[in-house]
This record gives sequence, C-alpha cells and structure tokens, in this order.
Amino acid sequence: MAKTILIPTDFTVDSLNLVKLALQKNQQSGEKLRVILVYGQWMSSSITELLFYSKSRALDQLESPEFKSCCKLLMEKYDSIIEQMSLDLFSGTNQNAFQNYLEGNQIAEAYYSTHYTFKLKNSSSFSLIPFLTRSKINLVEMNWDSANQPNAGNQQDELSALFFTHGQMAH
Amino acid sequence: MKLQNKIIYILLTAFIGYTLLFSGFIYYSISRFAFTDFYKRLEIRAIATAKIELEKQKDSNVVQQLRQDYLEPLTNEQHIILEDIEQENLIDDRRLTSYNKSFLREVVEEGIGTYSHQNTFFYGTIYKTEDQKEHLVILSAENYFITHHLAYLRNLIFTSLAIAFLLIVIFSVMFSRKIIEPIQNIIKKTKKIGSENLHMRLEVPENNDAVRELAQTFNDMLNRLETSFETQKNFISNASHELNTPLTSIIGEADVTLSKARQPEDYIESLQTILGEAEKLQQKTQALLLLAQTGFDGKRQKFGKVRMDQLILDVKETVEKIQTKNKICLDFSLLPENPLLLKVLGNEQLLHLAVSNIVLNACKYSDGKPVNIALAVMDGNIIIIVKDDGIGIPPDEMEYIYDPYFRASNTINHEGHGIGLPLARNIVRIHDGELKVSSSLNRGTTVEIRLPKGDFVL
Repeated sequence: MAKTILIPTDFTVDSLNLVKLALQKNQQSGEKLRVILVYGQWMSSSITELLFYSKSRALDQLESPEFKSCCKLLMEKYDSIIEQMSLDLFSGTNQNAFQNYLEGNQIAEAYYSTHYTFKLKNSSSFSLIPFLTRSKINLVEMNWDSANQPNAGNQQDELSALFFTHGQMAH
Repeated sequence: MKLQNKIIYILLTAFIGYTLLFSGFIYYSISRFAFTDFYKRLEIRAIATAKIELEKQKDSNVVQQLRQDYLEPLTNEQHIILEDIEQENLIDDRRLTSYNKSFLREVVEEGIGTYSHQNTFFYGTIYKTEDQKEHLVILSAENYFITHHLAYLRNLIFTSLAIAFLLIVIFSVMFSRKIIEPIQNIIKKTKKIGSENLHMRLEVPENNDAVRELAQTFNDMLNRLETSFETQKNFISNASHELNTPLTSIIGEADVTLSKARQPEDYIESLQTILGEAEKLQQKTQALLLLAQTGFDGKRQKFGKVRMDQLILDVKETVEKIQTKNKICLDFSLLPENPLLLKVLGNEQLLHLAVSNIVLNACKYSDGKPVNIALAVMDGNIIIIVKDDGIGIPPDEMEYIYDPYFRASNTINHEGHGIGLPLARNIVRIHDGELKVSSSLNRGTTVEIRLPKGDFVL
C-alpha cells in the first residue's frame, strides 16, 4: 500500500518547490507515494452554478500551462516513487470536514512551509494552512531558499521558479 | 494569364454553365408539361361537348351541369362537330378548310390528333355514339398558361440568370483574391528581405495549410541563411580582434626598438618579445584553422547525438576560462532517471556555441553575481534555463533583442557586438527548438531554451 501525502498548492510553479522537497525527502526510503495537491476553494452557493459544476473544469481553469508542465517534470523525475499524483479541491468549511477529508483519503503526512505565503486565486479561495496546523496529522515543515528575488511585482509564472532552490527541513 | 484571372474564368464557366443548364432544363420541362396538360384539358372538353351535343339523353344534362359548374371556360374556346362522317372524303370537306391537313389525316388515321398554331391549340377526335355512328369533334382554344405564365417564367429565369451572373462574378473575384492574397503577401515580404535585413521573417498564417507550409519553408530557409551569415560575421569580428592584439604588440615593440640605436642585449630582448607574440599569433591562426575545419561550413554540418548535461558541463568549463570572476551554479536536481531523455539530435559545435553565448552574456551583464544554469526534461522537451541577476533588459526594448547588432540602452559599459543572442536563437531554431527570454530591468534575465528530444533507443 502506497503512502499518501497531502501538499497544499496555489497553482504557481513556486509552490511546487514544496512538492519537490517532499519528494526528495521521500526518495531515500524508496516507498511508493501517492501525492495529492490540494487547493481550498468554497463551492458557489448559487444553485444553477452548482448544477453545472464540474471539479475537473474548475481545476482546469486554475492551472496554468507552466504549472502543468512542471507537474509533468516532477512526475518524470520521480517516476520510480510516484504511484499517482492528483489535484484536488477541498471545499469544506470547518475543521471536522477537513479531518474527514484527511481520513477519507487516508493521508499519512502533510507538508507545509512557513516562509512561503500561498497566493489565493480568487475571492472564494481560502488557505489550508490553519486547517493543517490544527489537524492531528503528521505535519512536516519544509522551507527553501530561493535564488530568485522575492518576486513581489513579478506576476508571471516562470519555470525557473522551480530551480535554484535549496531546501531544508525545519527543526 | 494571371492566376487570379484564371481562377475567375474557371469559376465563371463552371457556375454559369451549371445555372444555364439548370434553368434551361426547368424551362423546357415546364413548357412541355404545359402542352401535354393543355391537350388533356381540351380532350375532356371535346368529349364532354360531344356527349352533350350528340347523345340526346337525359344524362347529357348532368354532363352539361358538370361542365358548367366545374370546367372553367377557356379563352377563345371553339368547337366544331361533324356528325356521321365518312372517313375517306373527310379531309376534303368544305367545312374543314381552315384546319391543317396533316392534323385531319392524323385524326382520321389514329382517332386522336393535336396541333397548335399561334397560341391556338387544336384537338380532334373521332367520337363513336352507341348507334355505331362516327362523328368528328374538333375543339380549339387559346392556351392562356403558355401565352402568359410561360412568358413570365422566361422573364423570371432571365432576371435570375442576370442576378446570378453578377453574384458569381463578385463571388469569384472575391474568392480568387482571398486565395491569391496570402501568396502575394509572401511575395511582397520576400522581396523586402535582403542580406542587410535577414532577420526578418514571413508571417505564418494560421489556417491556410499550403500557404502556411510555404511561409514556413521560406522561414526555415531564412533561418539557415541567417545563421550561416551571422556565424561568419561573428567569426570574423572575433578573429580580427584576437589577431589584432598580438600584431599591435609586435608592431609597438619593433617601433620602440627601432626608434634609436641600442645595445645588442636590448635587441635580443625585444626580438624575443616579438617572437613570443608571433608564436601566440601562430597558435591563434592554427586554432582558427581548426575551427574552420571542424566548424560549420555547410558541407560538414552534421547532426549527431548530443548529451545535453555533458554539453552544459563543457560550456561551464569554457565560460569559466573566459570569465573568471563569475560563479556558475548548476542545478541538475531535476534530471530524469533515464539518460536517453537527455539526448538531442543536433550539431555539438553549434549547440555549444549557442549555449556558451547565452551563458557568456549572463556572466557579462551580471557583474560578478552568480549565474544559474538548470537542465530539466518535460514532455519530451529538454529545457535549459540560464538565469542571472544582472542588469536585465528594458521592457520597451524586448522586441529588438533578436535584431543583429542591436544592443540594449543599458549595455554601454559592457563590450559586445550584438550578435550572440540572434545567433543562439537561430541555432536553436535549426534544431526545431524554441528560445524564450524574460527579463526585468535591474533584476536579471532568464533565458529558456527548449529542444526536442532525439528519437534514440539504447
């Protein structure tokens, strides 16, 4: 049985560094992994929107081509340990829902970074970090030094964000 | 004949031929139908008249009633009934002189005859009553339908033909223009391209397949031409610079020595300096010769397997020899496990030239700050990312960076020829790759090279 790990994402290449570090950490053990990238977004309250709601379409709108190709890159690199890598939306509203989500997906570990702030894509999005810190899950903190400047004004999503980083585990 | 006119003529002939055939067929079948139909109407009337006139029975009243109620009167309807005729001398009958002889003969021989004369239609038949007597019935009337409706139909067809002709002319002119236009654009653009603006490229249309292919073929040809042009230019400017330095010192040394009479030791010393410089010069010319031999003179430009990680290590070594003050960091952390994915079908010298040009640029414009090179594979493409924290490129000058000899406004303090980047882009293009530059001023520049993976098997 593969280990399932949960990694919060915001669909930027920069945030995939967390995935990269998590995979690097798990590479030595050789254990097969199932990776779930989760983004927090509430569902619409409009009944007509819910009628035509499709999770895959919602995810498709959030993904950028750079993000997609970087995911492929990571999958190619860590082909031997990744059994499955999937994107998911969490749309629950309270801690119990999140706990259920973790149990339902049989998640063994979750990763997060204190240095990196997740960028929310729209007004119905929310950060998963408070849910993660309050949950009883085995939480691993990862941080990375980026060779990139703190890209405050830099809005574009560059492939290079995934490189030239040096990660370490927080102690 | 011009191609455009040819297309117009072909379309015109085809469409007009078709519409003529079509409307002719309609006209012909309608008029034929009108004739047969009218003769049938005449037949009904002839028989009804004969019944009324010849059979003095009570049901003839019913027929008359029916005729009055349901058969509309025809224009100029006339009938003549000859009772109890003898067939032999019928044709010469006095009362029938106004009728056509062959028509009468037909009636006698076949029992039914028809003919028309100036819009008046004649129908004749031999009617037999119950007492075995034979009577001749001839009915004539004008065909209103043929005189009016058919004429209307004819006018209608002619008007629609005229309109159709106009439409077809407009359509074929527009169509031929649409077909010809992209080709003419290509011709116009190609005429503008000369040796002085080889960097110009044709616009590749999005949908038109044949024209798109043509434009792409032209662009590919231009890529090859431009690369070989610029390789030569680059080579010449580098070579002349390299050769000039030792020559200058030789000339200077000789000049100083000859300025006055000196001791023999002085001469020996200066000759030794000159010898040393001359040897350097010889080494350089030999290196140039080697470069020319192994290089890219077209004939020997061969594509083979190139391992990109090896190439990048080579580039790093080369660049570190030239630019000693920069630190080059490699990031190979995301290399795939399969080394086959790193092999490119290409020319090693050219690729080396391209990548080293970009890395040299990165070093040159970043004033000693470290330069990062990363290599990764995604989706069958090999991606090289060169990132520096240098002076960057002003955003409004981004569109000119591929023009040869163009140098951004903030590069005044740095030496250069403005050839490296266009050359690198052309080399990448030759390998069916893609080169992307993104930059922010004073923050640094990121160059991304994408090369397709070669189809090699172990």
